[in-house]
Amino acid sequence: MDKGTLCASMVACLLLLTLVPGIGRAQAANTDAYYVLDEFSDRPVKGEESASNDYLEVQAVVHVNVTGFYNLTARLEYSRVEISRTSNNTYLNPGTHTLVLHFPNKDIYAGQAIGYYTVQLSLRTPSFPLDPIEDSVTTGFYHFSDFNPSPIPIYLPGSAFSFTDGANLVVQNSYIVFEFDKNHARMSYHFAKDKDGHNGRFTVSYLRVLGYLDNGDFFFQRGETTHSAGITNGTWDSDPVLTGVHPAFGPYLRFNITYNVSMVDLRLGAPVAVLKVTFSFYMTGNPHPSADRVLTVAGATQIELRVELELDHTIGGSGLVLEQVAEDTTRNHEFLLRDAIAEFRYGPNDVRKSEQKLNPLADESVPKLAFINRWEPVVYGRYTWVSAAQSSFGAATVPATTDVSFIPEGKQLRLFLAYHVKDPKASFLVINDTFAFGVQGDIPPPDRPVPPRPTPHDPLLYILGSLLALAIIYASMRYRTRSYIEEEDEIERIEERELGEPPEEEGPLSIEEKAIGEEEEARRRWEKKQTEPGDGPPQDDPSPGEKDRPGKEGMAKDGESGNRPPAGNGGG
Amino acid sequence: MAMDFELLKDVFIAWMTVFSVTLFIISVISYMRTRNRRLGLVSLAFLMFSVKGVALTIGLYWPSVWNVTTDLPSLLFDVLILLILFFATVRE
Repeated sequence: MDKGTLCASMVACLLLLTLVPGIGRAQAANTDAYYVLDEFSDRPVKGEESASNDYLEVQAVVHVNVTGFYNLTARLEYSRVEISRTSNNTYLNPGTHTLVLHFPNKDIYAGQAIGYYTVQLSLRTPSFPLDPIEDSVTTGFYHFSDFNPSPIPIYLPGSAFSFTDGANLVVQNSYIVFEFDKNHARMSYHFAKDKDGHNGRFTVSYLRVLGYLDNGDFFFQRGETTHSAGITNGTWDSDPVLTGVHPAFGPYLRFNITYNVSMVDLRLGAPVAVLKVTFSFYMTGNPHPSADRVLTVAGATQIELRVELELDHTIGGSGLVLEQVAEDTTRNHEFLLRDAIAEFRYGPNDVRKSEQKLNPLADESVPKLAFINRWEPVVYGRYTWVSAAQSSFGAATVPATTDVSFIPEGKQLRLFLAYHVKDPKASFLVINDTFAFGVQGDIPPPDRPVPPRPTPHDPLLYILGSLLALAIIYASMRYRTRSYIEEEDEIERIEERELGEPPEEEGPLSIEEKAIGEEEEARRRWEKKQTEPGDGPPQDDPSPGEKDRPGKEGMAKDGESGNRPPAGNGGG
Repeated sequence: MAMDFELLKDVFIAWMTVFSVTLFIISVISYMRTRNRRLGLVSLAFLMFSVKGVALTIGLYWPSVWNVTTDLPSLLFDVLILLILFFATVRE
């Protein structure tokens, strides 16, 4: 390409660019700096009397050079789906200004999004024909339940206390009830949809602590259960109920129940230790008022179950397990709650005797968890997520992770909680679980899943298949072997024939012998003709052999007949 | 009827296991005699089938040890593949 063509192409490109409408105008506007969108921030805002955040506030700093009306429009999005939209019309003088936008909590709550939201900002001015300036901002991590618009009343402590889910519920008066039967040392907690309590009631029917010998690094692999303590056989003490307001989650209510149970060595059959199990319940606001949600684990709606174990005697196990079985009133579903305390070792020579309590008022001690919001996936699916737990001992506090798995097993739905601590110094776990039970609503629990029937098998059929395979191989190889043998025999025969002495061949016949042979042949023909009746040769006609035979008689006959040709056809 | 088809799994898995194990042994012996590379590859294929058969056998009778499962059409294809491989080898 020569220089002229190159220049012509560039000119053509520039011409095309100038023909594109509007190009370069925004850049000119920014160059003129009539207004500039700068610096963003976001924060949830909550009133003093509000249980949750009232709105999400987004602030944008604007630099303006020209006086006029300015319009800042913002769209709150999550995964490119618009959740809310708001705008701010302001008359601004030249200078730097902060424009504030509010996204109402009801929109955010209706969006049901968890994570980092996106705010699409657009700043324009109707006073001047300039293109809008657009930008997008990523907010902090928010949970939609932090923006629950429903007010949550505070219930005074009593024998039973409840949360009301609020106006979003189809059926009102849903509440969660905790009951502690002092006479039977039995704990139960249940939630009910209405006052009749006919729906969604779960009761703890089984609770025990096991000591076990840890064969692996995972509590599912625990081997021999060495110690057992049934909570129902122990005595319990309750602490006074405390109420207050959580800085992040609103009103809370907490209390402790301590069980003193004797741990039995299963191998000896005798009590060997006194075990103190403390359940620390910490409940705070924002129950999720979803009509189809039966079990919700979330940060904002929570029932914290903390288990603290104290031993006054050394046990031989290397781990402890707390098991609970909760079942609903219809007995359709059972939950096995199994808390494993791995690496649990306690001995008289171990100076680590005190444990650090979790501070429920500390935000970081309240894990933000994922949630399961439908019944069916819980029953028929499997979920695992990692939540936060905290392992504390003395002054040392290390983070731990909690693996939570819901595993449906036939009629039962098992909830596994596994705690893993990486710090070898922390051999005592203070468990900080968050359980939140939403309401079940009008949807009845599904039927019990029918466990699949075991696949039928018959070892005899297996043997039959094996024999069949062997038979095919045997038959094939045998046939193949026979053909090999025949082939080898044939080859041997050929080789023998080729390598052996050649048979004696008759040499070529001499002329005389050939003549004799021909004479013999001719005589045979003549004799044959003689034997045939009728048209045979004349009687006086001598045989060819006799004719040529030398002798007196033959010579005489020849002399008598002269050259007379033979009469008749027979001499031909 | 479906139950009967399920029972066929036993036959096919057993057939595949025994067939492949036997042929693996035979092909290894042949390979050691002839040092033919193609035979070595064939014996490797039979070895793979043997491992698969053993795994399926474990999954069939001891699923708690190793829950390996398969379906009947796949087994049928395995059997056919083994047969073709076998006859191709024998033919050669």
